[in-house]
Amino acid sequence: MLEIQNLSKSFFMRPVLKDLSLRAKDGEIVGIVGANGAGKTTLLRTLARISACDSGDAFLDGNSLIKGSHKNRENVLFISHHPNLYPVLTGEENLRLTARLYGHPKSADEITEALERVGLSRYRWDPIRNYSRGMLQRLGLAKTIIVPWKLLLLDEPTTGLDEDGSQLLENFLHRWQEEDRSMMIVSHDMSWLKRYCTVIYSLSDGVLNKESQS
Amino acid sequence: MFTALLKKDLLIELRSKEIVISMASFGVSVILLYSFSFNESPKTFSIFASGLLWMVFLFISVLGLHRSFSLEKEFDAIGLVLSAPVNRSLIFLSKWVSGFLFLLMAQIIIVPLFWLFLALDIPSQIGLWLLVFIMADLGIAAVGSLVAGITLRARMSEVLLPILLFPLVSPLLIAAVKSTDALMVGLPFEEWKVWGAIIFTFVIAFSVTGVLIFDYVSEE
Repeated sequence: MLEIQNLSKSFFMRPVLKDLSLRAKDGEIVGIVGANGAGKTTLLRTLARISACDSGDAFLDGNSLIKGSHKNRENVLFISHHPNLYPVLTGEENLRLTARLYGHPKSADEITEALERVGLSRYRWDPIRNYSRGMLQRLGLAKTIIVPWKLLLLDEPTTGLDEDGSQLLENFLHRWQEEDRSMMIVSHDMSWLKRYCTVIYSLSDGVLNKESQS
Repeated sequence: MFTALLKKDLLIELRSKEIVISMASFGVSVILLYSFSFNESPKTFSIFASGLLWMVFLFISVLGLHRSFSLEKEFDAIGLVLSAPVNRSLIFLSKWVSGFLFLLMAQIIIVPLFWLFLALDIPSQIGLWLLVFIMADLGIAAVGSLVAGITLRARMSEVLLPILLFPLVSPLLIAAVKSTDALMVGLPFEEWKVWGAIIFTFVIAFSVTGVLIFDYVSEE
């Protein structure tokens, strides 16, 4: 279960997240919708501990993600709209590094298989600075194959994807829905979120409001 | 995990070749300038040699540190390491060791040329001389990695890095210059051991500080 308790964050005295609280059961897919600059990405970056918060905490199965040990984050995977990967390394090297950082080293065959599943096996030896935006998004999806996660934080996952890429993402999301995986998805597109999320919140002026629940 | 992070830094440098080459080429250019400026009076130069040499090392360190941390900013790559279940002290340690190795590699190119072009005498206590270099390099890399980590998220990190680094690293550089000077004129260890102790203390103080606070300084 994911529980966010009174999370606050400000940038240069400007509050971005104001005392946010949220509770999501295992298997729930939480959607966060909001305008540009509403703080959606900041919320995910804070949960992933890339950003520090001013106060509050978040818990996954009772373990603090923010104030607790780094080990508490081993089941949390953050896929940003930024690649969060090293541009001079190849797709394969980036995935191998990701797997090692999460404590699950993978063999070359397992990495190749993950790259094949996202349609990037042909480009596995290319430095990712040569990848297009859509290819980088696919590589982000490959991370979800090689890292065993319990909570997936997805930030604007459709950005830059072509038709095939969007279909690939949909296939992944449908499978995760069927498997009752827990996710938090951030998007500005409410209608897209409604297709996958069990509960949707809007984030506006740093405050979360429940929009819909199925 | 430390090995994975260190291997990542070394692999990135092996691929990009941006750090050591820029450090070495800058260092060699400055040495050439020294060589043409002082070629009439090598005796006079030997008085200032250690100070000028460590000045070169300070500047190439800033170049290397800035490049090393800029590579973490491209594609927001640092986000991968920060969001992973990694003890952030290990991120500091890997940056410290890789920074030290890059500085050492650049020095391997620069130092022989410095001695060759400026016709300096080779110090008799070569073992101690190497030890001073290694310890001072470790100190520069420790404080440099900590400061570069602090300035990583700043918009003008390339300006902030030297502004914060130069004053912090000054005691270490003074001690390194004094120790190198003493070794070049062949003074016994007893006469300059206080400078050696300052270098040693500096390395311990900043490496421990880095390990303890990198968790906080690396976040946005």
